[in-house]
Amino acid sequence: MTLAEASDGILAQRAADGDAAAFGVLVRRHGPFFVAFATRLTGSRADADDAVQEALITAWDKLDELADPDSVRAWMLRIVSRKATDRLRSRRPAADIEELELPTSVGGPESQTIAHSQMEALSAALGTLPDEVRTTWLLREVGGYSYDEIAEQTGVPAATVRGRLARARRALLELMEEWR
Amino acid sequence: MSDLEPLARRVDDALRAVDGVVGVYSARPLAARVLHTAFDADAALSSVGEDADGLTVEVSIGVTDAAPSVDTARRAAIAVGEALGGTPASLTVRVSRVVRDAGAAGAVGVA
Amino acid sequence: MDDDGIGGSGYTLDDLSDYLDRGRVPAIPEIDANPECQAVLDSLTRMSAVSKELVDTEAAAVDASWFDAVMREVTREVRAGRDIPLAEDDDVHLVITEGAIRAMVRETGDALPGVIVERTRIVGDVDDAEEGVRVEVAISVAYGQRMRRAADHVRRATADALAKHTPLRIASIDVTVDSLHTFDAEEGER
Repeated sequence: MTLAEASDGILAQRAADGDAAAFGVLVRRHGPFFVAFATRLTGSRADADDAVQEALITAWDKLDELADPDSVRAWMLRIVSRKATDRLRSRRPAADIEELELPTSVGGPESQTIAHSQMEALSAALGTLPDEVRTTWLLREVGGYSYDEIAEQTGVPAATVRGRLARARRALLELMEEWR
Repeated sequence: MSDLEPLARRVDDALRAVDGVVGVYSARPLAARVLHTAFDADAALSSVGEDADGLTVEVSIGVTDAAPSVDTARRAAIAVGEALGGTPASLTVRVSRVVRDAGAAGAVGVA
Repeated sequence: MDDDGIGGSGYTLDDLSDYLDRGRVPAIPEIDANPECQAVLDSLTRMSAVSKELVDTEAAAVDASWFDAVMREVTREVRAGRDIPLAEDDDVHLVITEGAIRAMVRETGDALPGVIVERTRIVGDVDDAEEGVRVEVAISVAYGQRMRRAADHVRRATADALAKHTPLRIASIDVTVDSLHTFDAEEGER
Protein backbone atom coordinates (compact mmCIF):
# COMPACT_ATOMS: atom_id res chain seq x y z
CA MET A 1 0.00 0.00 0.00
CA THR A 2 1.34 3.39 -0.88
CA LEU A 3 0.93 6.47 1.26
CA ALA A 4 -1.49 7.87 -1.30
CA GLU A 5 -3.98 5.15 -0.42
CA ALA A 6 -3.62 5.30 3.35
CA SER A 7 -6.51 6.47 5.48
CA ASP A 8 -6.67 9.96 6.95
CA GLY A 9 -6.06 8.55 10.42
CA ILE A 10 -2.83 6.82 9.49
CA LEU A 11 -1.61 9.81 7.51
CA ALA A 12 -2.36 12.16 10.40
CA GLN A 13 -0.32 10.06 12.78
CA ARG A 14 2.55 9.86 10.34
CA ALA A 15 2.44 13.57 9.76
CA ALA A 16 2.35 14.24 13.52
CA ASP A 17 5.37 12.01 13.71
CA GLY A 18 7.18 14.33 11.30
CA ASP A 19 6.54 12.69 7.95
CA ALA A 20 6.13 15.54 5.49
CA ALA A 21 5.21 13.18 2.67
CA ALA A 22 2.22 11.93 4.65
CA PHE A 23 1.18 15.51 5.31
CA GLY A 24 1.54 16.17 1.61
CA VAL A 25 -0.98 13.44 0.83
CA LEU A 26 -3.45 14.98 3.27
CA VAL A 27 -2.88 18.40 1.77
CA ARG A 28 -3.51 17.22 -1.77
CA ARG A 29 -6.44 15.08 -0.76
CA HIS A 30 -8.34 17.80 1.13
CA GLY A 31 -6.69 21.01 0.05
CA PRO A 32 -8.89 21.68 -2.97
CA PHE A 33 -12.00 21.43 -0.81
CA PHE A 34 -10.48 23.83 1.69
CA VAL A 35 -9.70 26.35 -1.04
CA ALA A 36 -13.22 26.13 -2.47
CA PHE A 37 -14.70 26.44 1.01
CA ALA A 38 -12.57 29.43 1.91
CA THR A 39 -13.34 31.08 -1.43
CA ARG A 40 -17.07 30.80 -0.73
CA LEU A 41 -16.56 32.07 2.76
CA THR A 42 -14.38 35.09 1.99
CA GLY A 43 -15.72 35.84 -1.46
CA SER A 44 -12.18 36.16 -2.74
CA ARG A 45 -9.96 33.48 -4.22
CA ALA A 46 -6.86 35.48 -3.31
CA ASP A 47 -7.90 35.70 0.34
CA ALA A 48 -8.82 32.05 0.29
CA ASP A 49 -5.38 31.10 -1.02
CA ASP A 50 -3.68 33.02 1.78
CA ALA A 51 -6.01 31.65 4.43
CA VAL A 52 -5.55 28.05 3.34
CA GLN A 53 -1.78 28.35 3.07
CA GLU A 54 -1.56 29.78 6.57
CA ALA A 55 -3.98 27.18 7.85
CA LEU A 56 -2.00 24.29 6.40
CA ILE A 57 1.24 25.56 7.85
CA THR A 58 -0.45 26.00 11.23
CA ALA A 59 -1.88 22.50 10.96
CA TRP A 60 1.59 21.08 10.27
CA ASP A 61 2.93 22.78 13.37
CA LYS A 62 0.10 21.69 15.60
CA LEU A 63 -0.59 18.17 14.37
CA ASP A 64 0.67 16.53 17.53
CA GLU A 65 -2.11 18.33 19.40
CA LEU A 66 -4.75 16.48 17.39
CA ALA A 67 -6.46 14.07 19.75
CA ASP A 68 -8.41 12.08 17.17
CA PRO A 69 -6.32 11.40 14.05
CA ASP A 70 -9.31 10.10 12.11
CA SER A 71 -10.99 13.49 12.28
CA VAL A 72 -8.02 15.35 10.84
CA ARG A 73 -10.05 16.71 7.93
CA ALA A 74 -12.65 18.37 10.16
CA TRP A 75 -9.86 19.61 12.39
CA MET A 76 -8.02 21.17 9.48
CA LEU A 77 -11.23 22.68 8.10
CA ARG A 78 -11.78 24.39 11.46
CA ILE A 79 -8.37 26.02 11.15
CA VAL A 80 -9.12 27.03 7.57
CA SER A 81 -12.41 28.63 8.62
CA ARG A 82 -10.75 30.51 11.44
CA LYS A 83 -8.10 31.93 9.14
CA ALA A 84 -10.71 32.75 6.52
CA THR A 85 -13.03 34.50 8.95
CA ASP A 86 -10.06 36.42 10.38
CA ARG A 87 -9.39 37.64 6.91
CA LEU A 88 -13.02 38.64 6.44
CA ARG A 89 -13.02 40.60 9.66
CA SER A 90 -9.83 42.45 8.91
CA ARG A 91 -10.90 43.38 5.44
CA ARG A 92 -12.29 46.83 4.81
CA PRO A 93 -16.06 46.50 4.53
CA ALA A 94 -16.98 46.32 0.85
CA ALA A 95 -18.83 49.44 -0.11
CA ASP A 96 -20.64 47.47 -2.71
CA ILE A 97 -21.51 43.82 -2.90
CA GLU A 98 -20.18 43.91 -6.47
CA GLU A 99 -16.65 44.29 -5.08
CA LEU A 100 -16.71 40.69 -3.93
CA GLU A 101 -15.25 38.34 -6.50
CA LEU A 102 -17.75 35.66 -5.73
CA PRO A 103 -18.00 33.30 -8.67
CA THR A 104 -21.58 33.55 -9.83
CA SER A 105 -21.22 30.86 -12.40
CA VAL A 106 -19.92 27.40 -11.78
CA GLY A 107 -17.02 26.65 -14.08
CA GLY A 108 -16.81 23.95 -16.68
CA PRO A 109 -18.35 23.15 -20.02
CA GLU A 110 -21.01 20.97 -18.49
CA SER A 111 -24.41 20.76 -20.08
CA GLN A 112 -27.11 22.89 -18.54
CA THR A 113 -28.74 20.40 -16.26
CA ILE A 114 -31.29 21.44 -13.68
CA ALA A 115 -28.80 20.67 -10.96
CA HIS A 116 -26.25 22.92 -12.62
CA SER A 117 -28.56 25.88 -12.73
CA GLN A 118 -29.56 25.27 -9.12
CA MET A 119 -25.90 25.50 -8.16
CA GLU A 120 -25.58 28.74 -10.08
CA ALA A 121 -28.64 30.16 -8.42
CA LEU A 122 -27.39 29.19 -4.98
CA SER A 123 -23.94 30.47 -5.80
CA ALA A 124 -25.32 33.88 -6.66
CA ALA A 125 -27.67 33.87 -3.67
CA LEU A 126 -24.84 33.12 -1.24
CA GLY A 127 -22.99 36.08 -2.63
CA THR A 128 -25.72 38.45 -1.56
CA LEU A 129 -25.67 37.40 2.11
CA PRO A 130 -23.86 39.46 4.72
CA ASP A 131 -20.46 37.95 5.61
CA GLU A 132 -21.32 36.52 9.01
CA VAL A 133 -24.57 35.05 7.78
CA ARG A 134 -22.92 33.36 4.82
CA THR A 135 -20.10 32.10 7.05
CA THR A 136 -22.59 30.56 9.46
CA TRP A 137 -24.45 28.86 6.63
CA LEU A 138 -21.27 27.41 5.13
CA LEU A 139 -19.93 26.20 8.44
CA ARG A 140 -23.22 24.50 9.21
CA GLU A 141 -24.31 23.14 5.86
CA VAL A 142 -20.99 22.42 4.20
CA GLY A 143 -18.67 22.10 7.18
CA GLY A 144 -21.15 20.14 9.23
CA TYR A 145 -20.22 21.82 12.50
CA SER A 146 -22.52 22.08 15.50
CA TYR A 147 -23.88 25.36 16.85
CA ASP A 148 -21.36 25.25 19.68
CA GLU A 149 -18.46 24.66 17.32
CA ILE A 150 -19.59 27.49 15.06
CA ALA A 151 -20.08 29.72 18.11
CA GLU A 152 -16.53 29.05 19.19
CA GLN A 153 -15.14 29.68 15.74
CA THR A 154 -17.01 32.90 15.10
CA GLY A 155 -16.77 34.21 18.64
CA VAL A 156 -20.48 34.67 19.31
CA PRO A 157 -23.00 32.84 21.52
CA ALA A 158 -24.75 29.76 20.16
CA ALA A 159 -28.05 31.65 20.19
CA THR A 160 -26.58 34.15 17.76
CA VAL A 161 -25.44 31.31 15.54
CA ARG A 162 -28.97 29.97 15.55
CA GLY A 163 -30.31 33.38 14.59
CA ARG A 164 -27.85 33.83 11.76
CA LEU A 165 -28.57 30.39 10.40
CA ALA A 166 -32.30 31.07 10.40
CA ARG A 167 -31.64 34.37 8.68
CA ALA A 168 -29.54 32.66 6.02
CA ARG A 169 -32.26 30.12 5.42
CA ARG A 170 -34.94 32.73 5.15
CA ALA A 171 -32.90 34.81 2.70
CA LEU A 172 -31.86 31.87 0.58
CA LEU A 173 -35.37 30.48 0.41
CA GLU A 174 -36.68 33.78 -0.81
CA LEU A 175 -33.86 34.24 -3.33
CA MET A 176 -34.09 30.70 -4.65
CA GLU A 177 -37.84 31.06 -5.02
CA GLU A 178 -37.27 34.20 -7.03
CA TRP A 179 -34.93 32.51 -9.43
CA ARG A 180 -36.93 29.39 -9.91
CA MET B 1 27.89 38.11 6.68
CA SER B 2 27.70 38.59 2.96
CA ASP B 3 31.45 38.30 2.42
CA LEU B 4 31.34 34.77 3.75
CA GLU B 5 28.57 33.84 1.34
CA PRO B 6 30.98 32.67 -1.41
CA LEU B 7 32.70 30.45 1.15
CA ALA B 8 29.40 28.98 2.17
CA ARG B 9 28.59 28.23 -1.43
CA ARG B 10 31.94 26.59 -1.88
CA VAL B 11 31.11 24.40 1.10
CA ASP B 12 27.74 23.50 -0.46
CA ASP B 13 29.43 22.43 -3.69
CA ALA B 14 32.10 20.45 -1.86
CA LEU B 15 29.44 18.58 0.10
CA ARG B 16 27.50 17.64 -2.99
CA ALA B 17 30.62 15.98 -4.38
CA VAL B 18 31.16 13.75 -1.35
CA ASP B 19 30.57 10.07 -1.90
CA GLY B 20 27.48 9.11 0.06
CA VAL B 21 26.02 12.59 0.41
CA VAL B 22 22.67 12.66 -1.35
CA GLY B 23 21.38 16.03 -0.26
CA VAL B 24 22.44 19.36 1.18
CA TYR B 25 19.94 21.21 3.34
CA SER B 26 19.56 24.57 4.99
CA ALA B 27 21.90 24.49 7.97
CA ARG B 28 19.99 27.06 9.94
CA PRO B 29 16.34 26.73 10.91
CA LEU B 30 14.54 29.42 8.98
CA ALA B 31 13.16 32.36 10.87
CA ALA B 32 9.43 33.00 10.95
CA ARG B 33 8.18 32.57 7.46
CA VAL B 34 6.54 35.40 5.61
CA LEU B 35 4.24 34.16 2.93
CA HIS B 36 4.71 35.45 -0.56
CA THR B 37 8.21 36.63 0.18
CA ALA B 38 10.43 35.72 -2.72
CA PHE B 39 13.18 33.65 -1.18
CA ASP B 40 16.62 33.65 -2.69
CA ALA B 41 16.96 30.33 -4.41
CA ASP B 42 20.67 30.92 -4.92
CA ALA B 43 21.52 31.56 -1.28
CA ALA B 44 23.96 29.15 0.26
CA LEU B 45 22.55 26.38 2.39
CA SER B 46 25.54 25.83 4.59
CA SER B 47 26.31 28.29 7.31
CA VAL B 48 29.73 29.92 7.59
CA GLY B 49 30.31 32.46 10.34
CA GLU B 50 33.34 34.09 11.85
CA ASP B 51 34.35 35.01 15.37
CA ALA B 52 37.56 35.71 17.26
CA ASP B 53 38.62 32.07 17.12
CA GLY B 54 38.07 31.72 13.40
CA LEU B 55 35.39 30.23 11.21
CA THR B 56 32.25 28.59 12.63
CA VAL B 57 30.68 26.24 10.15
CA GLU B 58 27.44 24.30 10.30
CA VAL B 59 26.19 22.03 7.55
CA SER B 60 23.16 19.79 7.14
CA ILE B 61 23.29 16.79 4.84
CA GLY B 62 21.33 13.79 3.69
CA VAL B 63 23.26 10.52 3.40
CA THR B 64 22.77 7.21 1.68
CA ASP B 65 21.71 4.33 3.80
CA ALA B 66 24.25 2.16 1.98
CA ALA B 67 27.07 3.22 4.27
CA PRO B 68 27.17 3.96 8.01
CA SER B 69 26.21 7.59 8.57
CA VAL B 70 29.28 8.28 10.65
CA ASP B 71 31.56 7.35 7.74
CA THR B 72 29.78 9.63 5.29
CA ALA B 73 29.69 12.42 7.85
CA ARG B 74 33.41 12.08 8.39
CA ARG B 75 34.06 12.28 4.65
CA ALA B 76 31.88 15.36 4.53
CA ALA B 77 33.85 16.98 7.35
CA ILE B 78 37.10 16.38 5.48
CA ALA B 79 35.64 17.86 2.28
CA VAL B 80 34.50 20.96 4.17
CA GLY B 81 37.99 21.42 5.58
CA GLU B 82 39.50 21.16 2.13
CA ALA B 83 37.01 23.62 0.67
CA LEU B 84 37.93 26.16 3.32
CA GLY B 85 41.67 25.63 3.05
CA GLY B 86 41.97 24.22 6.56
CA THR B 87 39.82 22.87 9.37
CA PRO B 88 37.59 25.62 10.73
CA ALA B 89 37.62 26.59 14.39
CA SER B 90 34.29 24.88 14.83
CA LEU B 91 32.52 22.53 12.46
CA THR B 92 29.21 20.73 12.91
CA VAL B 93 28.12 18.21 10.33
CA ARG B 94 24.49 17.31 10.90
CA VAL B 95 22.98 14.29 9.21
CA SER B 96 19.33 15.29 8.77
CA ARG B 97 18.19 12.51 6.55
CA VAL B 98 19.12 8.92 5.72
CA VAL B 99 17.92 7.98 2.27
CA ARG B 100 17.14 4.40 1.33
CA ASP B 101 18.26 3.30 -2.11
CA ALA B 102 20.59 6.23 -2.68
CA GLY B 103 20.01 7.60 -6.16
CA ALA B 104 16.26 7.61 -5.64
CA ALA B 105 15.05 11.22 -5.44
CA GLY B 106 13.82 10.78 -1.91
CA ALA B 107 15.74 13.63 -0.35
CA VAL B 108 14.04 16.98 -0.54
CA GLY B 109 16.85 19.40 -1.17
CA VAL B 110 15.34 22.23 0.79
CA ALA B 111 16.49 25.57 -0.37
CA MET C 1 -45.73 35.46 7.74
CA ASP C 2 -49.08 35.18 9.52
CA ASP C 3 -49.55 34.24 13.14
CA ASP C 4 -50.57 30.71 12.26
CA GLY C 5 -47.05 30.05 11.08
CA ILE C 6 -46.08 28.27 7.92
CA GLY C 7 -49.05 26.60 6.27
CA GLY C 8 -51.14 27.27 9.36
CA SER C 9 -49.02 24.86 11.42
CA GLY C 10 -48.32 27.38 14.14
CA TYR C 11 -44.59 27.06 13.55
CA THR C 12 -42.40 29.75 12.02
CA LEU C 13 -39.45 29.41 9.69
CA ASP C 14 -37.16 29.82 12.68
CA ASP C 15 -38.91 26.91 14.36
CA LEU C 16 -38.52 24.75 11.27
CA SER C 17 -34.87 25.74 11.13
CA ASP C 18 -34.38 24.50 14.69
CA TYR C 19 -36.37 21.36 13.97
CA LEU C 20 -34.20 20.54 11.00
CA ASP C 21 -30.99 21.02 12.98
CA ARG C 22 -32.31 18.82 15.77
CA GLY C 23 -32.69 16.04 13.23
CA ARG C 24 -36.48 16.27 13.49
CA VAL C 25 -36.50 14.66 16.91
CA PRO C 26 -38.59 14.59 18.96
CA ALA C 27 -41.09 14.45 16.12
CA ILE C 28 -43.64 17.26 15.86
CA PRO C 29 -46.77 15.95 14.12
CA GLU C 30 -48.03 19.45 13.28
CA ILE C 31 -44.93 19.96 11.18
CA ASP C 32 -44.53 16.47 9.78
CA ALA C 33 -48.13 16.33 8.59
CA ASN C 34 -48.19 19.81 7.12
CA PRO C 35 -47.47 19.97 3.37
CA GLU C 36 -46.20 23.55 3.37
CA CYS C 37 -43.85 22.80 6.25
CA GLN C 38 -42.61 19.70 4.49
CA ALA C 39 -42.03 21.72 1.33
CA VAL C 40 -39.94 24.22 3.27
CA LEU C 41 -37.95 21.48 5.00
CA ASP C 42 -37.36 19.81 1.65
CA SER C 43 -36.12 23.06 0.18
CA LEU C 44 -33.77 23.61 3.10
CA THR C 45 -32.41 20.09 2.78
CA ARG C 46 -31.97 20.49 -0.95
CA MET C 47 -30.14 23.79 -0.54
CA SER C 48 -27.83 22.14 1.92
CA ALA C 49 -27.05 19.38 -0.56
CA VAL C 50 -26.53 21.84 -3.40
CA SER C 51 -24.17 23.88 -1.23
CA LYS C 52 -22.01 20.86 -0.60
CA GLU C 53 -22.09 20.02 -4.28
CA LEU C 54 -21.16 23.56 -5.17
CA VAL C 55 -18.07 23.52 -3.00
CA ASP C 56 -17.11 20.03 -4.18
CA THR C 57 -17.43 21.08 -7.81
CA GLU C 58 -15.28 24.13 -7.28
CA ALA C 59 -12.79 22.02 -5.37
CA ALA C 60 -12.34 19.83 -8.41
CA ALA C 61 -11.17 22.88 -10.33
CA VAL C 62 -8.35 23.70 -7.91
CA ASP C 63 -5.01 22.81 -9.40
CA ALA C 64 -2.92 20.24 -7.54
CA SER C 65 0.28 22.14 -8.26
CA TRP C 66 -1.03 24.95 -6.09
CA PHE C 67 -0.09 22.85 -3.12
CA ASP C 68 3.50 22.41 -4.16
CA ALA C 69 4.23 25.88 -2.85
CA VAL C 70 2.65 25.05 0.49
CA MET C 71 4.58 21.81 0.74
CA ARG C 72 7.80 23.66 0.08
CA GLU C 73 7.05 25.91 3.01
CA VAL C 74 6.06 23.02 5.19
CA THR C 75 9.05 20.86 4.50
CA ARG C 76 11.52 23.65 5.04
CA GLU C 77 11.42 23.20 8.74
CA VAL C 78 11.99 19.51 9.08
CA ARG C 79 11.27 18.40 12.61
CA ALA C 80 14.84 17.67 13.49
CA GLY C 81 14.52 16.94 17.17
CA ARG C 82 17.58 16.26 19.29
CA ASP C 83 21.09 15.96 17.95
CA ILE C 84 22.61 12.54 18.52
CA PRO C 85 26.41 12.50 18.53
CA LEU C 86 28.00 10.28 15.89
CA ALA C 87 31.58 11.14 16.75
CA GLU C 88 33.34 14.05 18.26
CA ASP C 89 36.82 15.48 18.09
CA ASP C 90 37.68 18.85 19.62
CA ASP C 91 36.44 21.08 16.88
CA VAL C 92 34.47 18.73 14.69
CA HIS C 93 31.01 17.57 15.77
CA LEU C 94 29.37 14.88 13.73
CA VAL C 95 25.73 14.43 14.66
CA ILE C 96 22.62 12.79 13.34
CA THR C 97 19.23 14.22 14.15
CA GLU C 98 16.52 12.37 15.96
CA GLY C 99 14.26 13.30 13.06
CA ALA C 100 16.56 11.54 10.61
CA ILE C 101 16.53 8.40 12.71
CA ARG C 102 12.80 8.39 13.17
CA ALA C 103 12.25 8.92 9.46
CA MET C 104 14.61 6.06 8.79
CA VAL C 105 12.75 3.78 11.20
CA ARG C 106 9.53 4.79 9.50
CA GLU C 107 10.81 4.01 6.03
CA THR C 108 12.44 0.78 7.13
CA GLY C 109 9.11 -0.41 8.48
CA ASP C 110 7.19 0.79 5.45
CA ALA C 111 9.39 -1.27 3.18
CA LEU C 112 8.12 -4.45 4.80
CA PRO C 113 5.08 -5.98 3.11
CA GLY C 114 1.75 -5.12 4.69
CA VAL C 115 3.23 -2.70 7.19
CA ILE C 116 2.67 1.01 7.58
CA VAL C 117 4.48 2.74 10.39
CA GLU C 118 2.30 5.15 12.31
CA ARG C 119 4.44 6.54 15.08
CA THR C 120 8.03 6.34 16.22
CA ARG C 121 9.58 7.44 19.47
CA ILE C 122 13.06 7.47 20.91
CA VAL C 123 12.75 7.57 24.66
CA GLY C 124 15.66 8.33 26.90
CA ASP C 125 18.78 10.41 27.09
CA VAL C 126 20.45 10.30 23.70
CA ASP C 127 23.64 11.83 25.08
CA ASP C 128 24.22 9.18 27.70
CA ALA C 129 26.03 6.30 26.00
CA GLU C 130 25.70 4.08 29.09
CA GLU C 131 22.02 4.43 29.73
CA GLY C 132 20.60 3.23 26.43
CA VAL C 133 17.37 4.34 24.86
CA ARG C 134 14.07 2.71 24.29
CA VAL C 135 12.64 2.77 20.80
CA GLU C 136 8.88 2.56 20.34
CA VAL C 137 7.28 1.86 16.99
CA ALA C 138 3.54 1.73 16.37
CA ILE C 139 2.50 0.07 13.14
CA SER C 140 -0.58 -0.71 11.15
CA VAL C 141 -0.70 -4.18 9.62
CA ALA C 142 -2.70 -5.23 6.55
CA TYR C 143 -5.46 -7.75 7.08
CA GLY C 144 -4.13 -11.14 6.21
CA GLN C 145 -0.65 -10.46 7.44
CA ARG C 146 0.44 -12.20 10.58
CA MET C 147 0.77 -9.53 13.21
CA ARG C 148 3.41 -11.20 15.35
CA ARG C 149 5.60 -11.89 12.36
CA ALA C 150 5.16 -8.36 11.03
CA ALA C 151 6.13 -6.94 14.42
CA ASP C 152 9.20 -9.18 14.58
CA HIS C 153 10.28 -8.10 11.11
CA VAL C 154 9.93 -4.48 12.07
CA ARG C 155 11.91 -5.02 15.25
CA ARG C 156 14.75 -6.72 13.42
CA ALA C 157 14.86 -4.24 10.57
CA THR C 158 14.80 -1.35 13.03
CA ALA C 159 17.60 -2.84 15.10
CA ASP C 160 19.76 -3.28 11.99
CA ALA C 161 19.16 0.27 10.78
CA LEU C 162 19.87 1.75 14.19
CA ALA C 163 23.06 -0.24 14.57
CA LYS C 164 24.28 0.90 11.19
CA HIS C 165 23.50 4.56 11.53
CA THR C 166 23.66 5.47 15.20
CA PRO C 167 25.97 4.79 18.12
CA LEU C 168 22.97 4.61 20.42
CA ARG C 169 22.76 1.77 22.86
CA ILE C 170 19.32 0.34 22.29
CA ALA C 171 17.81 -0.98 25.51
CA SER C 172 14.69 -2.24 23.79
CA ILE C 173 12.59 -1.90 20.67
CA ASP C 174 8.87 -2.08 21.42
CA VAL C 175 6.71 -2.67 18.38
CA THR C 176 2.97 -2.29 18.84
CA VAL C 177 0.40 -3.24 16.26
CA ASP C 178 -1.90 -0.28 16.64
CA SER C 179 -4.38 -0.97 13.91
CA LEU C 180 -5.23 -3.12 10.96
CA HIS C 181 -5.92 -1.81 7.51
CA THR C 182 -7.40 -3.09 4.34
CA PHE C 183 -6.20 -2.19 0.93
CA ASP C 184 -9.02 -0.11 -0.49
CA ALA C 185 -7.72 1.79 -3.44
CA GLU C 186 -10.79 3.97 -3.65
CA GLU C 187 -11.07 5.31 -0.17
CA GLY C 188 -7.80 4.44 1.46
CA GLU C 189 -9.93 3.62 4.49
CA ARG C 190 -9.56 0.78 6.93
